[in-house]
Amino acid sequence: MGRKEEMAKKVQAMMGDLDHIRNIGICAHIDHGKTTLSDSLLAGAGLISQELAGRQLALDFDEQEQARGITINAAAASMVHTYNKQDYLINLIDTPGHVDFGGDVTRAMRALDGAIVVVCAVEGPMPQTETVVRQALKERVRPILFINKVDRLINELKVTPEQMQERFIKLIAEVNRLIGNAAPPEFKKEWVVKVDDGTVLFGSAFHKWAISVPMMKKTGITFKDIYNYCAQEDQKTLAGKAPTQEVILDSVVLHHPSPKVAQKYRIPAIWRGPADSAAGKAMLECDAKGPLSVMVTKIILDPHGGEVAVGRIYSGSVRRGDQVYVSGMPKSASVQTVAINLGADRLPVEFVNAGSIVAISGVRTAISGSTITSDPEIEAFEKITHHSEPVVTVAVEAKHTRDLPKLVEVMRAVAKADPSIVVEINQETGEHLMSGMGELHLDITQYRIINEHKVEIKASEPIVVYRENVRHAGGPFEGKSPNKHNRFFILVEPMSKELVDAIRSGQIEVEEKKIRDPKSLGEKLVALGWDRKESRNVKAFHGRNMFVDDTKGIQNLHETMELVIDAFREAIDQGPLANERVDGLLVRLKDAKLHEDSIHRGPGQVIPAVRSSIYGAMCLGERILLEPKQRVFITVPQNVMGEATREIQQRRGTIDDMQPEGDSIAISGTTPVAEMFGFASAIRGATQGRALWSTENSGFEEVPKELLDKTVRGVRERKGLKPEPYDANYYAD
Amino acid sequence: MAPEGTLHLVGLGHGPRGMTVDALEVLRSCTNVLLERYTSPAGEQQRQRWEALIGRPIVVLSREEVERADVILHQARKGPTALCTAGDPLVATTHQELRLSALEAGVAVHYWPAPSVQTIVPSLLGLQQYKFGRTITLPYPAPSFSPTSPLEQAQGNIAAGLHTLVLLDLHEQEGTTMRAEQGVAQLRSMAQRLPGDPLPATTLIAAVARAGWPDSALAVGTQEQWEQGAIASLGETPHALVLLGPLHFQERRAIDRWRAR
Repeated sequence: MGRKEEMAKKVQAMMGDLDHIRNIGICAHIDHGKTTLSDSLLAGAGLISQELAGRQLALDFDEQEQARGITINAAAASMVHTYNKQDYLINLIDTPGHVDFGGDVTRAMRALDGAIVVVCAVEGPMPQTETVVRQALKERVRPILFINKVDRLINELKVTPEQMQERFIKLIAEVNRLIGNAAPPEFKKEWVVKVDDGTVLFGSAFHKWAISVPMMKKTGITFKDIYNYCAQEDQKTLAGKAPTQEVILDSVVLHHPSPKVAQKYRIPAIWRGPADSAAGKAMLECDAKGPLSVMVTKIILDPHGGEVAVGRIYSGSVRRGDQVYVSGMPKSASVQTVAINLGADRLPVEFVNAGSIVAISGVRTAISGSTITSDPEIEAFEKITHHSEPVVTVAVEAKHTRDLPKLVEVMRAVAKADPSIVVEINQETGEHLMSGMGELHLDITQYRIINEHKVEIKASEPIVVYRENVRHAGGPFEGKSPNKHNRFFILVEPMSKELVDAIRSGQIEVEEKKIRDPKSLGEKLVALGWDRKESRNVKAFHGRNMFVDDTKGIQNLHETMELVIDAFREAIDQGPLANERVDGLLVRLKDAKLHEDSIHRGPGQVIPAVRSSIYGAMCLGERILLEPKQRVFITVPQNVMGEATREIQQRRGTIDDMQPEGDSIAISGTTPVAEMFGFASAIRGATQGRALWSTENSGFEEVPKELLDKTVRGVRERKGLKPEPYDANYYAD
Repeated sequence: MAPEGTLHLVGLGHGPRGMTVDALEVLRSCTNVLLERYTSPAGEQQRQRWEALIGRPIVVLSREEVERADVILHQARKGPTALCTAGDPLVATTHQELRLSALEAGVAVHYWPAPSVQTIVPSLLGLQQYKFGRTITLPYPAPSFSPTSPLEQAQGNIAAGLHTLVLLDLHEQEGTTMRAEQGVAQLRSMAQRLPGDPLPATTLIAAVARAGWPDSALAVGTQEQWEQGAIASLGETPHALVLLGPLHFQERRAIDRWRAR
């Protein structure tokens, strides 16, 4: 039996022993050493040879990830760690670090109970450190801190032992500030990381050593020893005395909760179903005998196994051949194989129990974020809230016409595997429009389509996704049906900031199909200052837009309402200014005059009438265009600071902050995404490659007035529309 | 302000030669002859017959072009223009709108009436004109659109002891029109979505095919007979239905003649 098979057998045997399981992840700012650390841990478990760890990045199993040196997929691996003669099953999920893949991070986070937050000793906490810590705490995942690249502090920055300690104190305080800001109230104290108890670790993942204060006591190694080993370039001895995986996994075992402990406080935060139901009790108890509930965190496309759903089992167990249900899907599906992950490999097993990570194939309707259950009545896990939405689009075409059917299938699969990719088909041109989190994100996805799915494609230059809204309330505007027998009077207004925030935070849920509980929605709106009567009038959501029917007792409106709502959706999908999606609009029907005969108010009449009415009201409300913005973080040596700030400023950017960090300077700024294309090579050129930089989408902001006409014209011409948008008079006709 | 341009609203009646002599002469004198086909059906063959009759080409307008009055008014300003409709031109409410827009735009409007399905159907069936309530039209159901109000309006007629003329929808693009048996099925589907029993099995439903044509055909049966397919096919469309209210003895004499046994 090979080493892997042996591991699989061992893992299978341990799955019933809940007290000795840990589900953990590693998260960090880009390049702080997350993947290197993952590999060190796996090496200890015997999956990679010690020599190769640190060089062969096992979790970066995409060729492309290795080429770029960043981690794209959140892949999972299970391993066994022995502490005090007791074996523990450690399920490790690798989370992506590049913010272009923020959706994946959130999803992976939900499967964890504990996180190792890696922070580079040289750079200290970076913007994405804050993001990942916030994401972890939101999902009630307990963090511990690993300060990486300590050797570089000593060998490159030549700090003294005293300076080193000072830096550590400052770094730890900063991380604790982040934790204090975002931790759930009951854990604010308990989850502070401390040097004394081993929730703070130091080391070099690359050189495969780590140390904590408890470990120092056990081994007699002191900070001074570490300093000396590093300074003398003898980290190998250190790695022998204090190997990474041993020190870190000891701390994981001691400080990260078992699934049984964690689910008690995590389930109420991540699952909304009734706590006293059979499913609720089973999840709180992490009961393998209860009904099955799997939270799917990722879909992996396997050339042999097809689509594989990877997720955390919160209750029950899953076996090959089981009939299961996917949330929101009417039919059951049959589980073809059940497997556990070992690095890039999946090894089939008989079953996997509650509290572990599983890879299921055969359930094709699952997407990232789905819940797989044994009973369709079980409430799905809370809708995963995305912290980011697509901001850049490319048009994708098959190079060869014969590949067209395959491309359709591949695009569908790509969007399923990565929900932060949105694919739409332009009905007129037949082009696939693929939207994602940034230029790099789309580059990588295109690379995958070509190299993994073997479809040759042509892609257009990336273009920015805009949003439309109005500056102030407009209307009521009278829209007439083509036969002039029906009139709709509609008022539009921008949603209040409070309402937008409530929707963004998920406090008010966007229900595209049907508003299930109008009463509770009404209560929430009253709390935001809505009139009690009007709060009951919400008829539909579409994205972050709401349709409100303020009319009373209009005859035949009930059998016309569905068409009115269809028209509302159409108008939101394609705004009047540039055919871009409308975001954050309240649409209020104030009055309607309908023909008595239904034949005169079919779809051909009602839809154009309502659309004109919404568009006309938007003209009166002064239409505005919103563009996506990015925060840009650059760290450069002081002598090229001017070049770096210039790169931001000449892209319509603003400099928000500059902080000296040793002999470097950390610049943060904000720029429109539209101006960011080609930034990577520009900043490299301007600073001779000495800039470390990252970006983060920061939401949509209004396009400056002086650029509005030009931008609108550009978008319209690209779409083959008349360059000038229509005015209110046009819609009054 | 002197009228600028002239628009003739011309009824072509029903059947191949159903227009009046006045209408024929007006059409022969017009520069532009336009035809709309969405409020009443008129096939390609029929259009050619009319062209032969008036001796000039007929341009078919889409629904959108008729609804956006500007195309027609533009033509009317260039020379005397006729907009032709099967049946009577002003029974369809859309054309009243066009008439008013034309007048407001300073275009002179002339109306040339013709027989309408509204009068032909009762007459063919032997029903008395004054015993009809509101006319209803059955739309083809579409996504998000399956109204029940037509049957509710017919219920009002029935309660008042009146007959209901039921017009049937047509798909302009496909050029198809709803058949009598499809219309009855539509009524039944509406009845299922309404409370009570608005369309009992014993309700008498009459059908007329090709009203006003030399080969018109009639059929009468109970709702149940329609459902069971006991009514022989009426042949080509256009079709229309009548939901019969209480019958006068004279009406009964006529209806009994057409009834299926």
